[in-house]
Amino acid sequence: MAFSDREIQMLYDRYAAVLLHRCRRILRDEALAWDVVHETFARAIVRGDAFRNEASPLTWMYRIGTNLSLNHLRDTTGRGRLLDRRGEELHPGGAEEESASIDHDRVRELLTTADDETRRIVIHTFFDDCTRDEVAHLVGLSVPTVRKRLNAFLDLARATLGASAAAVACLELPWT
Amino acid sequence: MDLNSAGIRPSRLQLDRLATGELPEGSLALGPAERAHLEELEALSATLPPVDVAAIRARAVRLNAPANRSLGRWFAGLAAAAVVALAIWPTTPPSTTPIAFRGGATLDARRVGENALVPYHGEGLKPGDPVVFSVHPANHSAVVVLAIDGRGEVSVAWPEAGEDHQTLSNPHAATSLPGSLALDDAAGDELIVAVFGDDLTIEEAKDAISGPLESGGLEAVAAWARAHPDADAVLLRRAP
Repeated sequence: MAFSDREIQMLYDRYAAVLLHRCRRILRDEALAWDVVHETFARAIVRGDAFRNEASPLTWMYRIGTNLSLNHLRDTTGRGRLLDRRGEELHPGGAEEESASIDHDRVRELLTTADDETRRIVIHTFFDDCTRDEVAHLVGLSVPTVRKRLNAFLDLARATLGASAAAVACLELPWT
Repeated sequence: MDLNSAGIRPSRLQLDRLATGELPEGSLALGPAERAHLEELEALSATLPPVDVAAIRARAVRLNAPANRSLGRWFAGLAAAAVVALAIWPTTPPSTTPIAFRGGATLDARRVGENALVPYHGEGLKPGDPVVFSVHPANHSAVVVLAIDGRGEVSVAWPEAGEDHQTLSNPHAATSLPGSLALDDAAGDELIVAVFGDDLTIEEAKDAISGPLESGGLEAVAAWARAHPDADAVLLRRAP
């Protein structure tokens, strides 16, 4: 059954702030974050009754929003625009701050080169602060597999950034 | 590292579910950091602009309707002749290129003629000329279609953003891909490569073409795809 205007309004009132907050943290771009929020709502509407029957609509929207956000990151990073824009916006001055930003951007770049499941695992682990059980449930994998994929990503981050820089960059990802 | 691997505190997903009412009040133990997160959400919620129902509906309609894709930019509206041609395009088009007869999975291209879609045989295309595609998956249930421009840059033509692959509902029959592709203003020809599989991801498709692309560019990818039973390619040539 089609969504009524009132249902869309209720969805927006209930979920827009949470989704926007999360997408802004991942994308660090207000316009892109809004784009993902609207696209996620549109997909929920298209899904119709199946969406209405989700045990946790937010969990479903998290999954869709994550994929859309990561695709945005992949596309924009691939075109070389992201670092330039972020560098200007976030660190108009100060080499030290800029260096820290680049570490975070490198982690994000590593994310865009990872396979889809690994990207989702990293996002749910570091951005959403989920437990391994929650991550396993969200991506449909076993806990040992989640752990293995996460360790492989962290190994890559350490090899690329150095151990301490990788740890700091990953932990601070949600807050930068 | 201070990860929440053991569930020693509520995850942000749990907190967000609490904020949206999916979890009942009092179901989570909240410390200062958790309360700050919830307050931040509440403050953000108070500043949101009113919902634009029409815009969300319009997006939903576009998701349901065949998309009009472009390589690098969306072509602004198909010509009326193209719409007519799309409507009368047979669901199982005859094979139109030599590679379509080689067996295995295939990718077919058609361009917009005067009043109908006609097989594409490598004629020169102008930027914006729409080309539509169909695939014969040869028992596969998914396809990823990549576009490689003259500089070797790879973009995803299908699936749509957020999906791992384009799902093919009938693995035994030709299937039209939604929308169309068109050359943009970038120089050079474009190679459209279809990689077929069952549990395929975009990354796997890109991995598959990366070797030939690095070793021999578009020509090597085209040769690889046309020789591989689970791949195929069509070169969109740019008009001089």
